[in-house]
Amino acid sequence: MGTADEQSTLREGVIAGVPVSVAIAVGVLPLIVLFVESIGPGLGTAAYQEAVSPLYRGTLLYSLGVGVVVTGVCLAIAYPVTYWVAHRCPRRYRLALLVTLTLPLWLNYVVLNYSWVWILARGGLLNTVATSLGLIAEPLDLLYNDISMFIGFVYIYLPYVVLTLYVSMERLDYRLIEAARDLGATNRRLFLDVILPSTLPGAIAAALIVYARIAGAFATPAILGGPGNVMIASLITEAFRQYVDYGFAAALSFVFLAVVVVALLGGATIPQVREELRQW
Amino acid sequence: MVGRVRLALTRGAGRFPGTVVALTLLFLYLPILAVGYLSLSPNAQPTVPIDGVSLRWYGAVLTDSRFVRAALTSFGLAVVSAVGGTALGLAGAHTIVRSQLPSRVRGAVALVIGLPLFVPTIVVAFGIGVATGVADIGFGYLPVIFGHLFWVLPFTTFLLTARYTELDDQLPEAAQDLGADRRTIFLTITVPLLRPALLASALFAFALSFNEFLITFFLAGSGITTVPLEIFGKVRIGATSFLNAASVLVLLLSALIAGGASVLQRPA
Amino acid sequence: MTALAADGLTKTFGDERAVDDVEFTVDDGEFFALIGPSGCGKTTTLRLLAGLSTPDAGVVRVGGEDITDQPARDRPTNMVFQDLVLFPHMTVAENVAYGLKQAGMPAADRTSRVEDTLALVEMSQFADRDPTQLSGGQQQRVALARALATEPDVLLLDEPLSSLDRALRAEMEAEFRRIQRDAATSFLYVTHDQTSAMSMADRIAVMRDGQIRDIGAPDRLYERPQTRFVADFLGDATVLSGTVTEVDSTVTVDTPAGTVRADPNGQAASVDETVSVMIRPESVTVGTGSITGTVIDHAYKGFFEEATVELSSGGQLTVRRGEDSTAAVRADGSAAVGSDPGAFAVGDSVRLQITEAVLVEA
Repeated sequence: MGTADEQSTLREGVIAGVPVSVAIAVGVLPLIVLFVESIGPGLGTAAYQEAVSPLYRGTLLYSLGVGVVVTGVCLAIAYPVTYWVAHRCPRRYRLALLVTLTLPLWLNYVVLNYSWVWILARGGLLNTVATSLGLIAEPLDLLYNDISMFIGFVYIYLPYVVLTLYVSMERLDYRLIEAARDLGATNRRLFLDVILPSTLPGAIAAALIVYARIAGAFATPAILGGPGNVMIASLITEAFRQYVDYGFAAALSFVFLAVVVVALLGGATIPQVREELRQW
Repeated sequence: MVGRVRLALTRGAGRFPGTVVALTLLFLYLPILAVGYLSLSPNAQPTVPIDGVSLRWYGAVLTDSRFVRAALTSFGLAVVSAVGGTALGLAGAHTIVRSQLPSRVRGAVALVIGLPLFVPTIVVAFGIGVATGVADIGFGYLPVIFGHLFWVLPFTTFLLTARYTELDDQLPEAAQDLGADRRTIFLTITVPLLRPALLASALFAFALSFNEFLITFFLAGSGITTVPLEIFGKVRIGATSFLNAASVLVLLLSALIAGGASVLQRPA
Repeated sequence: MTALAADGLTKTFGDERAVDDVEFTVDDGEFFALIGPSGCGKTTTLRLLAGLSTPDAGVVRVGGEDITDQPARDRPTNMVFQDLVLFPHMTVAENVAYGLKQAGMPAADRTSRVEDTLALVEMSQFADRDPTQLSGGQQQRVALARALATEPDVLLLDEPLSSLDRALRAEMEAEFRRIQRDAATSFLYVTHDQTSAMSMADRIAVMRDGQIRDIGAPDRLYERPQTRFVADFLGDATVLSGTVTEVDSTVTVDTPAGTVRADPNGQAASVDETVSVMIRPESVTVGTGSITGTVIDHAYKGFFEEATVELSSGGQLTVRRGEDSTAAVRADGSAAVGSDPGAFAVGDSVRLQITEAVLVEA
């Protein structure tokens, strides 16, 4: 823009620098500190060895497994939902519906998790209604176990998946579907040949964003999980609260982080997925 | 018979997707309605169904000194996050969209700002907790503020980036040609045109900060307590009507703010 | 007095010289057009003059003063953009007042100046309107008013009429001319539309591949272009190659269309040299003459017809005929009777005479 170009580059740098410094100060520096802690004073891998010992490996695998399963379920629900909103919903209701479906993202997730306690408890809403309707003889054990934790996870993370998937579902040209139907495609073929390939990058992006958060979640297992549902975040939190030596917890965090990052990078190598991630 | 089957198959997915949508809405809002319903119970420990309707627990929440203190802290943090997060977000958006810096640098900026979305919060929170201990900053408001800004930044930045790209990039040139300097262009052209997005960004940031739990949890050394922390603490102890009332209040606040922001973000 | 002078302006993008040693002047109160095909560098030149881009070499002077190092906001020039770029969040009046505000003019003076300028472009009753609600022509006027309000020494216009339809464009061209005269400001108007330029400008510069090929008044450029490119660019022309047979006050050239006597047009020519001769379609009379040929293509253009004639001696000529020309001779030898001389038909044989030709550089 005219003259004085060097001056403007410096200024641009400063403007860019401020938010970046915050992001680095909070996001990167602590990770470096953590890494240092995990290696310990003697630059050893002792902490890491303990972190990958069978006990903790089990927790790690369990957490990742939960992440994958919940993500899968969220995707399974999000597909018909986003399809309907993008291609079947009358235009004027579309925005309102989308806002309604994604509103929980902005609500307090501690409260949201907690709300299921009242529904799933032995004396809670679900059991009371079911027994009074005669559907079951005795209240079911639905709380503080796999079931409640699983429901809580889906409850919290479904809006993320819906939001991310909606972007690519909206971009799908409905005429492709009409054309396929016209040529005699069944629903199964339609999904596999038309919808899935076109929205796959969006689905993968959604999965990447959500699975790591689920695997590393703290509040949901803490509020809705039972003693058998120990996830990686609980371990790390325990270590932080109780132990003086953070090395082990740090190592654990890094092992977890490494797995997550590898998966993320793996997914991000696909250019279409990168495009979808840019939406965020 | 074959014809009918084929008709059903080819006529489309039928009512399946629509049904799923309805069920999903039910799924998402039933728990909230349940908590709301139970918060009206006159008993400290609500029964199902409730016997009587009472607002006393709302009163109890609003007069509980601990809760009020937490609410004020949360509110203050949220305001700082709203203002700071939006200002930083604007700087970030400007960098990503309009700056003359090479595109690699701009991509890197976007990546760094977007970190909170991809790195599991537990690791970040733990890291901050350890780092503040090691650096002997001590627990206090400053690390919490930084933590909230960090969390809020990707949302404000990307929201503003989306709006920024929509601005005609010749407008600054036209203003320049007529005699405006950079500062004037920013104040008379850029900001007024971005105003709805700036407001939406501030509101979203407010909601996000108000509800932030994990980072604050790790940094809540002495004395700092926020509403999510308070609620979590009480949840661990047990479910009560008090908690239900507090929950409803918190949900209403966030819903109003987020709803307002959504309206601002997309003018009809 | 010179209002604007460009001297040796050069701008390179990568390997490409978008603007190559461009030099021209615009006089006080002159309507000057800079024309050329897309990509010839005219918009880049304009931006260099406006200060929105920095030249690699060369000088820009306004009123004699060197302003090359001044940024756009300090220059006594204002620009009307191709997309107009009106400020959507301000009213028409606020748009027009913007430059005045930046110059620090007090509010009362601003108001009266805005009124005067809006009156000049005949948009007074739209002062409080939202510019995005106006029609294309109305937005043009507002853009013009905004640029004129600060009374710049030179107004730079970047193809502002290119998005308008033909009728509106013709109307706006006349308006631009009127406003330019009333405001007594020098206009530098960039366009690829040569008819627009010819109807509005006092002088025209033709650009190609970053260089200026010819500068002059519209009639001079049309009737006596210096190069073949300029001849082709401004209107239609047939350019024939031929050998010089005689040189005196005119140059006699042996061309595929027969022997032509051409105006030397400042070209040096010697006998036996190969030269290019330009013939405008309207310089060919139909009906009598020594040249014969057959119509191989024709087009009806409204108030004239145009035909491509294959000459008996080889080569082709484009001819035009208005309503008052003499009739063509039909293949069967008959001539049409009555007020309608008869349309050209493919296959008609015609007799032609070239009344005017000039030499041009190849």
